[in-house]
Amino acid sequence: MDSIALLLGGFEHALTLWNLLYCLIGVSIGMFVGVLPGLGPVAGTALLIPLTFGMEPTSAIIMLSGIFYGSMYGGTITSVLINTPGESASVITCIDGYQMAKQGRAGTALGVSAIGSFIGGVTAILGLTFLGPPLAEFALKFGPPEYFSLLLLGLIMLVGLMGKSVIRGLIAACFGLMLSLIGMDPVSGAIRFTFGQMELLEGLDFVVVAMGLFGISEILLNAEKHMKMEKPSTIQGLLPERHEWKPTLSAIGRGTGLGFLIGLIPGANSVIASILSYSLEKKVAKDPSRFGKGAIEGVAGPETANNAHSGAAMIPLFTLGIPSSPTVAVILGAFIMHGLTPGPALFQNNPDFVWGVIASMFVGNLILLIFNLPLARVWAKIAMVPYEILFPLILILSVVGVYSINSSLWDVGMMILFGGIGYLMKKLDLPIAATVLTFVLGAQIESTLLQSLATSQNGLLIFFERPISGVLLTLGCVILVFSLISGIKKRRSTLINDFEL
Amino acid sequence: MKKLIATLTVIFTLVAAGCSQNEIQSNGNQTAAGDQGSQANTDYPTKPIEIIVPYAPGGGTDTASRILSTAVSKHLPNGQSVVVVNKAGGAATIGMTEVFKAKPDGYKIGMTTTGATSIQPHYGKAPYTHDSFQAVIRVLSVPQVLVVRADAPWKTFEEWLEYVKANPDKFTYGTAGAGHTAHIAMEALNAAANIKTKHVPFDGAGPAVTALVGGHVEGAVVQVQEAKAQIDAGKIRALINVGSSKVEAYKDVPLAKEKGYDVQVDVYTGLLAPKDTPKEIVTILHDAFKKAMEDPSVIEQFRKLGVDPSYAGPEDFQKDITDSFNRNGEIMKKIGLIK
Repeated sequence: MDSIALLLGGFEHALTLWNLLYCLIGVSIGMFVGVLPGLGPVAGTALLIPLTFGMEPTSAIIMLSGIFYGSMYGGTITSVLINTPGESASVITCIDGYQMAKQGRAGTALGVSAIGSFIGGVTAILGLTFLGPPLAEFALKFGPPEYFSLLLLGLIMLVGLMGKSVIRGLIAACFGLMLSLIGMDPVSGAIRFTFGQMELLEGLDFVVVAMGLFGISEILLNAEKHMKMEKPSTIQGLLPERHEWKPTLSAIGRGTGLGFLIGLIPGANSVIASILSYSLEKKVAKDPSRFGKGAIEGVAGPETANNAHSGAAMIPLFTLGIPSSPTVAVILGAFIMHGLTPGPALFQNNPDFVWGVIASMFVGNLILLIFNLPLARVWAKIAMVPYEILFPLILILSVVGVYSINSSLWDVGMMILFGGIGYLMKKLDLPIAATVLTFVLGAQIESTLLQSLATSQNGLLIFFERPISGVLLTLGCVILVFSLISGIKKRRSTLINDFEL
Repeated sequence: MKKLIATLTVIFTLVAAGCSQNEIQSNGNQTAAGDQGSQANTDYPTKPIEIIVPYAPGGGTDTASRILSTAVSKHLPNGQSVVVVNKAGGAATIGMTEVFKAKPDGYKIGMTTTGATSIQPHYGKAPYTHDSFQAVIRVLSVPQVLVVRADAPWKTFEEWLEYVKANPDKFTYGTAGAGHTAHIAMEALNAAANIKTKHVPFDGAGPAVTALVGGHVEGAVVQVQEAKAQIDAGKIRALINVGSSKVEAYKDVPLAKEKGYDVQVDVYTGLLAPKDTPKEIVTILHDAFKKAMEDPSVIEQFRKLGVDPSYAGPEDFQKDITDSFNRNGEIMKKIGLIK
């Protein structure tokens, strides 16, 4: 009950005119940052930190965290409309979201994401309010072996998403893993596959690879069709049809739970939350064949999960002072710049600040919902712009966006190269999402494996000696065995009917 | 939609107002600083100066550069502005290569660190080496500390040493990455004290400290400011300082050299200009940044980051870079990072 009283006190701070304005500015910038390809939430928050030096700490953190969760809303928009994820958490939304847009249901896809994001975000903040500290202590039990098992589980789930041909899926997944090997070996420091190029020393950049494989290849593919695409005639409503409400809401519920749990774990990124949510939705759906053809659950679940993730990611920061993602690490930096030490003492020493910021997150999520529902209709109109005009624009935006990451033409060249590769992959029916997702997870899998082995006294046994990691791996094996059995039984009939990523 | 337009207008007006204010200020300074410029025999700087930061926005080097770049304008002739440009990638070699190749006119300078100029050249991939630049000024020199959990059984460095001597290859320590200054510092201590510890590289200092708090590694070697939040919260404590100097905030943490082990691995941060930059320009830059470093508000902001400014002039800074380059090379050879 204490928490409620404190939270109400927090609203007193969050609802002052200035703090409301900062919250508004924060979430708006976050949304724009999410929409713009290339400029991610990390750079967005980092660039604004110097602006906050003169502000009250509460206002500063209200604004910066607004950018963080606001960007999660924005990232969806480009995934749905132009099949190009604005940030990594939205990769999976491309699969069904873009299909929905092609059917003229872009408004519904965006509307459902906004509602799901709101529910996921608010639930996660409620979690922060009432359950924060004990949950955060538990999450600390995740060390390198546990991450490794979790990531491996994510990879196994991915095999389940392969689409028409498992072989093609595996080729795409292995290609992604190979890409993730480029650059300096995280443990020995040996330099691999860089062909003497300094630019490759730290490996390929996610944004460059994803925008090339998804975005540029889409433009190339459509250019081939003489710019005559089946154009959606009208934008249908923002809300799902009546019979879709029930599955949508349960997908949002599951996404919230999953995203929240994964957000608690420091270091587990939001990509894992959205992959797991997508495959969970596909597993529980009555008719999994709809997935990949514009299934509304395939948008609602993952989008909810990544917002619940970003809310829950604030729990370890507030209660333990531990950043769970790069953006949160930047916000931690801002805490310190303003003379606040995150951790258990924060709740006792600066209650006004803590509860003010928490309350502002409720307000911010509400602002985003109000923004996004009517705006979804505006955004969705983009899908109606003739392709002759839209594609050059997307191309220019992508080039500028990629250039802006490191002010480097090399990145632009790489993006175009990956655009070519993506085009070939689409021609050959290789699932691109499998490549991008294994690329994101690959580097982490490698370093957590090597970290675990470095801390282990018994070699590989460490993964089974530790309870959490053991359970995760067993779960992975069970899923794998079940998939194999069902595969043999149905003689791949399900797989053939399956969707394509 | 109307709402959106309204918000946008508000934001743009705010930005515009902020910009015009700066303009007025710089105009004011221009007249005031007019005669200063004529003394220096050069009209430098006539346009904004670019500082290349070879790391992504938000990191320690970036933050320090941004703090300085806002404060330095008023100490430059003409009140010229200084812009921070992030050129991350290639373990900081890409950004420094750009400085290396820049025209030596003082308009493009770089904020280097130990990693960029005293470690990376050893791998032979960078086109420059430790003495390919004109040193301008050192702004920070941060020592690194070995931290352990607050509930670890070792209260002092001696107790810890006794434990690792009795249990070789058991004690695991996390760092921000292989070949990172922290890794080199700990290996130097290993060699000096004749002990064996196990290195666990993480992707940055943050994850290493998190793993320590979670009890997945037994220790971590990080820069003081990276451990500050958790030390202040009482989750971890520092056993020994493997750098060359103490920090104000943690005065009671002993130095390795006080305990009789010759380990002094600091992480420096400072400005470099391209090699043949004229002496007058280097002097103008050096004087302006020196004054900015003495600015109480800058010191205050650095303190909040957990670091103290640590000044060194061009000659001393170059000597620091060279010494660090040589020492790191020896250790890297010893632990097999390079041949």
